[in-house]
Amino acid sequence: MLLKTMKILVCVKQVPERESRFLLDASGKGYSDQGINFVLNPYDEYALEEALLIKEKLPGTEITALSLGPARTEKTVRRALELGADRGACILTPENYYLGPGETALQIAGFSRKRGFDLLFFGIMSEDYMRGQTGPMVAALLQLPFATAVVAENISSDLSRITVERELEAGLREVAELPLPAVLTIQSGINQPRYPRLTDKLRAREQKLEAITGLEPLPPGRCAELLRAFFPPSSPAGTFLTGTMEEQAEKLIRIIREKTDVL
Amino acid sequence: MNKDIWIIAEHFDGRIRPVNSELIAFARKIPGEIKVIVIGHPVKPLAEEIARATGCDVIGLDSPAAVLYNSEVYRYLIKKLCGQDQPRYLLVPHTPFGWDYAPALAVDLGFSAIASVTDFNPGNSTFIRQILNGKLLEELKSPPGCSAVVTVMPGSVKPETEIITSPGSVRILEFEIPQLKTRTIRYLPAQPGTVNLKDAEVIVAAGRGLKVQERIELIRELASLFKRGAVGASRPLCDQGWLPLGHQVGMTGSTVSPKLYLACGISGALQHTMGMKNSGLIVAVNTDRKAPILQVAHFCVNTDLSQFIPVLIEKIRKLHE
Ligand SMILES: Cc1cc2nc3c(=O)[nH]c(=O)nc-3n(C[C@H](O)[C@H](O)[C@H](O)COP(=O)(O)OP(=O)(O)OC[C@H]3O[C@@H](n4cnc5c(N)ncnc54)[C@H](O)[C@@H]3O)c2cc1C
Repeated sequence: MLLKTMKILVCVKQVPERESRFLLDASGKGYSDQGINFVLNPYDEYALEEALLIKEKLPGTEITALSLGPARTEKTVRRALELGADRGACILTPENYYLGPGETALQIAGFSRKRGFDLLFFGIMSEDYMRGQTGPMVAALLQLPFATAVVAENISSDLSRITVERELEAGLREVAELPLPAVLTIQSGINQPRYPRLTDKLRAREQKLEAITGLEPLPPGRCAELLRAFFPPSSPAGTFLTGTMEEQAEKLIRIIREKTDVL
Repeated sequence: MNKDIWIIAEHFDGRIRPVNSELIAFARKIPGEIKVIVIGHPVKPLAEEIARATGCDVIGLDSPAAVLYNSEVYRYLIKKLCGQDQPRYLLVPHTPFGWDYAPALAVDLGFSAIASVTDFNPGNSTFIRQILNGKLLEELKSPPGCSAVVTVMPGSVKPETEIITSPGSVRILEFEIPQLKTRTIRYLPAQPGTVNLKDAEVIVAAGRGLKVQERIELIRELASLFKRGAVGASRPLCDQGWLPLGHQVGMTGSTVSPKLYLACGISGALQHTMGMKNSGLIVAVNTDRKAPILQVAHFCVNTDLSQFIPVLIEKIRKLHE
């Protein structure tokens, strides 16, 4: 009998921890990574978990976690191994190197081209740059079908197709069917990401990662130019209540009674 | 390349979506001629409706394959159109359809791609967008001579409301589409109970700032003190299973406009504020004085919700006695 297995690539990005406070870096184009704690992009945890769930159904499935970034990114690939990915790879960029969406996609497409992945998974977006472009761009570069904002998936028994539900607005969904290989971006809430098992933690510590150095050059003139990063207006549109907690509560009640009829 | 701005219109279930009026308003900030492109089957009624409502010239791209949304159809047809003439900017709504095809289309066309912008700065032709959950903004530009596919965040500009006296022209182009890989099968309606906050007069909404699941009881208790009070939530609480989906407010949940919206421990991501910013009175309880929710809230209580809400409950109780 034919062993049913899949090769899945999960792209994982390293992003600042959500509660971080940011300062601009010396270039004025981004945030300084001094003192920032970096973690696996939470949206990518859902993508990885979905791959792990497929592996539970189709044992023998091999999951490769790939990240792109400076040397510190290795930690995020190891985190993906701890969570259950089989292999880890890292495309190394120089420190403080700005990666636009097109450049990121080009590297990932280059990595994936001859490796025979059946599925390429991405989180719906990264929490730092919030673009959500990498998945569809990689698909376009590799001429693969894709679906974004996936909240349910089911692989056909002959492993030739995948049916997905995409999340639209206000609770609506779209059902689509794609032939494999295909690219999916996974929306949060599709599953409940697991915690690492001790055996995987130990394995992740020792395992060798594939390191790729040297970026594929971009065709000229196609990328948007980043001019600067800046803080939003620091004065809020609304008014801060002042005083003790008790006084603030009383003020709030007064405001609610003045402005509405709900109290 | 010409200087045009082409808006790719969005429609669903035979209706033009309100986000299109926002894209028109956004496009009017950019110097250049505006054209609207609409894709569908049959596309003529949609194209005519847009021409009437906006006064813009409209090109309708029609194909039997375009009954339901399909990224491959959008890419194929827009690429065809760009084969004759390339605009400076292709503006696409940053919605589940727009963010799907736009990045791939940029690759197909060799355009630059700028996602989820909230503003345009005519001074230096730059686009502004949020990063890091709204804690920072960035300013980007498509280099001279390079066309761009730009997705525009819904809710970032006031919709165009100009009274239109003369409709724009309508041109319909029909195409055969070659074999598609992706097959869109159908749309599923919202599950009953996934969107159910419409009738509430007061929504007490909880976000990740709740930190502990048991604190939902505080939120419930506070909501119960109002006659038509309900509990709302940001998406992460529903994702985690702390509250059923029906409580979720925002782009992928309910759009609400109660008389009072009390946002407790919610940072104010655009996907959230899109669903509640038209509420009558918005009050935020947040420990972060810089949280983006403060840009839409009328009043802010800058304290720990776990301490403040019990005090507030206490005071409202006294009032009822
Ligand atoms: C395609 C897509 C669709 C989405 N749709 C939606 C949607 O419909 N609705 C939605 O809500 N989100 C949606 N999101 C997610 C959205 O982008 C944000 O991630 C989410 O809204 C953040 O939720 P939050 O504000 O509760 O959490 P956070 O952003 O983590 O904010 C928590 C806040 O709590 C404050 N806080 C912490 N501790 C305390 C305390 N003790 N007391 C008071 N305040 C405290 C913090 O200062 C912070 O401001 C969507 C995302 C995507 C990509």
